[in-house]
Amino acid sequence: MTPEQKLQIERLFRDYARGIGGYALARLGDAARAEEVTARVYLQVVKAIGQLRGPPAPWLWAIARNELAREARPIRLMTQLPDELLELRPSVDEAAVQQEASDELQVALARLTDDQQQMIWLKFYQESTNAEIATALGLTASNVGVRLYRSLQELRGILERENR
Amino acid sequence: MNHLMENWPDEPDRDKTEKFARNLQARLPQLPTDALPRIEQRLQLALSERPSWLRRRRGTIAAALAASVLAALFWMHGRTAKETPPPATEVVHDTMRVTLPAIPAPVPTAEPLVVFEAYQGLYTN
Repeated sequence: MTPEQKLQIERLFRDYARGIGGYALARLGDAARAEEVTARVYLQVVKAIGQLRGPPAPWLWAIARNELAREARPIRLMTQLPDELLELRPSVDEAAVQQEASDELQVALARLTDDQQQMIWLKFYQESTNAEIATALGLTASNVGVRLYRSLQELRGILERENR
Repeated sequence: MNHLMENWPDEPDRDKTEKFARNLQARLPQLPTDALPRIEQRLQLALSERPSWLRRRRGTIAAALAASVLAALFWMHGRTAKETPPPATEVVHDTMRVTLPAIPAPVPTAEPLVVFEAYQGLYTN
């Protein structure tokens, strides 16, 4: 690895690690697992830095999405357990209200398409402007605004249906 | 985040979506403060390690070098063996004295070997 690549990785850590970690936490609802996923994302970055071409945000998102999918797989399997075993899980009443809201968000985010999730990650966790997102994703700034709006509408709709 | 609603379409339920977006923004989960330094520590460790592909490549190069040296040694050995002249042939001269028995000289006989007159009937029709 060249010294330039090392500097580039450190810059990617400075600019994106907090956002990736926050998004991983929103998706997984568990700080330890979110930390592990974030660390794995950056270990993957170290291995694959030579493949980075163009804007780093979509590239990082692809790595984070894969790591999240790997991490989320056991949870999906748990939901396929027979009903009598699912009843052994802690009831909703036992969970704190805040945790419940976090769980709802976790489920709702997972139901969005990959593009919608990426849009929300960039806007809310990376605090990027529409122009920055547009540059990263090859869109126009106004298109980003509309897409983000639709993604939020979708997320709101999922959460409302869940709460009914 | 002042740019949250930039370029949003002007639609009837925009207010609801805006309120939802602000709520979402207000309760964004973040990793604990000590998590990022721990992740950075792991990252720095990975950066200081020699990458595994390079370790594997170094191993491959070393094995290839060793194989080349061995092959060169075998080749040199073969060449040296070919170039070595064969041991000089020693010519041995030996002399033997053989004594043959004397062959008696044929004694001429007065009688002819075949007496034609005795077999004359063979030549007549």
